[in-house]
Amino acid sequence: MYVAGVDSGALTTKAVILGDGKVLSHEIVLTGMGGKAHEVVEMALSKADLSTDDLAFVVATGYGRINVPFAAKQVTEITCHGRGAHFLIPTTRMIIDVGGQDSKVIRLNEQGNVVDFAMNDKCAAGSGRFLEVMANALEIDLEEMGKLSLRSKKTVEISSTCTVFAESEVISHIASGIPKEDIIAGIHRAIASRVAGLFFSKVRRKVEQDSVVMTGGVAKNIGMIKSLEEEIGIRIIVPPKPQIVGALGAALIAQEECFM
Amino acid sequence: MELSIKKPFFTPKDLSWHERAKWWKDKGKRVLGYLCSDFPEEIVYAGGILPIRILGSNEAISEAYKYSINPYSCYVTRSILDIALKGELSDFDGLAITTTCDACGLDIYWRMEDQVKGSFPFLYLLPRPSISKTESSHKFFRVELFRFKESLEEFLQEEIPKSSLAHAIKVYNQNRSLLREIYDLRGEGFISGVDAASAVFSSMGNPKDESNLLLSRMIEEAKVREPKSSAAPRIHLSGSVLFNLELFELIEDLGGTVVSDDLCVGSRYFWDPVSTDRDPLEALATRYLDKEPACPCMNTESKVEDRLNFILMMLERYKADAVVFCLHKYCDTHQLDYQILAEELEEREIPFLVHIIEQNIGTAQLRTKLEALFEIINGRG
Repeated sequence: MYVAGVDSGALTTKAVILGDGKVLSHEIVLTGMGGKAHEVVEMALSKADLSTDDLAFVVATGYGRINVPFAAKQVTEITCHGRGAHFLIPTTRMIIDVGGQDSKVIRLNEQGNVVDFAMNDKCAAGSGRFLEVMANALEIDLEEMGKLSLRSKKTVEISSTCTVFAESEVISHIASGIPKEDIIAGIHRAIASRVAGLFFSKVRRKVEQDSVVMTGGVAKNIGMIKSLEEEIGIRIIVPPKPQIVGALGAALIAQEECFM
Repeated sequence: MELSIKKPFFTPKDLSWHERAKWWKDKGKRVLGYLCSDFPEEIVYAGGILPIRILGSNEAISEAYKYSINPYSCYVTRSILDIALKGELSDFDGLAITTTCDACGLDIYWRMEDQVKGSFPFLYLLPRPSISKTESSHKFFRVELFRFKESLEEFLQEEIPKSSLAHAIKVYNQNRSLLREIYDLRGEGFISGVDAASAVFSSMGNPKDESNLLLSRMIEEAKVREPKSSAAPRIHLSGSVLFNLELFELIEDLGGTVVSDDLCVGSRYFWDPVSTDRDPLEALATRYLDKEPACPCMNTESKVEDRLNFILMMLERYKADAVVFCLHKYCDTHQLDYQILAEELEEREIPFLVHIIEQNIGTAQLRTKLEALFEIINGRG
């Protein structure tokens, strides 16, 4: 039996195909204007030598979940990230999900069920979009940011919370000749401190080792992980494909639906 | 114009502020605006004046910023000032403001005095002590209510007899008891969350005697209806002012239902009755100071504990599954209480979420938050 999970995010759309509880394939495409849910599922299916007729159930998640007409069910990205992260790393109790336009902190119980969550409110300051804007200002690739920041010797201070003001700050740092790696390290720290605020708002008890997992595309940035670990004071586990965790969770729920 | 619950006199968009005031003034009567659920309307009603609650609206600010209005005041404050500065309250004979928080109380009063000067023949700041449940605060507030009554009598050029005040209390208590009955019927599925909220909203702007007739009819109609199943996530709403019923509607659209609240446009407005076995002003002073759910602006030592206990009582009474805090941006008093309330709910493993609103409720993100909360409640989370 085959099922699919689609995560229609602000920046990218992801699909995961499951067959008998195992991940058969996945695919990631840029969301663009029209939404790419159908396309991404087709691509993932062809990787697994399957077609849409083979799918028993599709669950959609992500901010565009209501615009996935072929999905039989819509589930929020909060529940899906919880399900996906717990499947990959059963010790997960806290998830930090930093995506294209929002950041979330999700708390799970031992069974992997979501018990609490927090989301950034109406502002993209602690999100992937913030990193994109800064990469653009620094004229570097988004993917390079993590590695470059590790070379930093002196992290600069980015004091503005607002993405647009922070960009002006970055530009003035560039103009005053501060090395790019120090500016990037500062950008990471600025995001990390905002995400840490969200994180601690949902932490009431001691956080155990190996219980904090980061998902979402920003988790691929090693500099960002390092900054976050410094801010929250504990090691963060990153699954191999952090950006497909939501789609994986959706696929796992699709599988459960088939057995219900 | 005929009043109805479905199209409450009060709820936005249906009628302009001019129209709201005019239909009553056409009967040769006067209209007084008030801003807060902690305002003793009974005194105004006893003087034959129609008190209309002014909540603000989610329309964009167009005038207030020209008057150096603080952009970091809550949207309720900014919006009320904007409405007044645009001249939309020019048909109101008066405006009475209770000292609650500095923005919604004092700042609005001072600016109304300075910048909307002359608009209101009667403009009054009612000093409410910030401590409740003490003899001295009751005494103080009784004196202030007496002074308010005197000022109003001077404005009306006639006395407000004690009997009128006692009658007003009776009519208002009847309204409170009808609204409680509506909440109870909502809890049992006979009335929707939206309709029950509508009943409260309409009560804040309609004359109470007419409002009571409408509410009684609503109750009679509801009782013969088939109750709806109570399987949907049952939500308790916590917060202050909502400009309209959008949030109640959104929760229902997503498959949940609002069964209880501690909103300034909900139970905080009507829950506790006024005692009828003592001097009317003394009874009003006690009720408006000590009432539950308490106003977060109060400094009474037990305030947060009292607020928590009220929420817990409502959760039990109406079998609510979760609490949704919908708080205004820049509203310190509610947000400070929230931190403590959140910890207490968490300790009791009661699911909750907080959403910060400004001009609008911010539907897109709130939708995801509410759906995630419903998934937790339904076991999907």
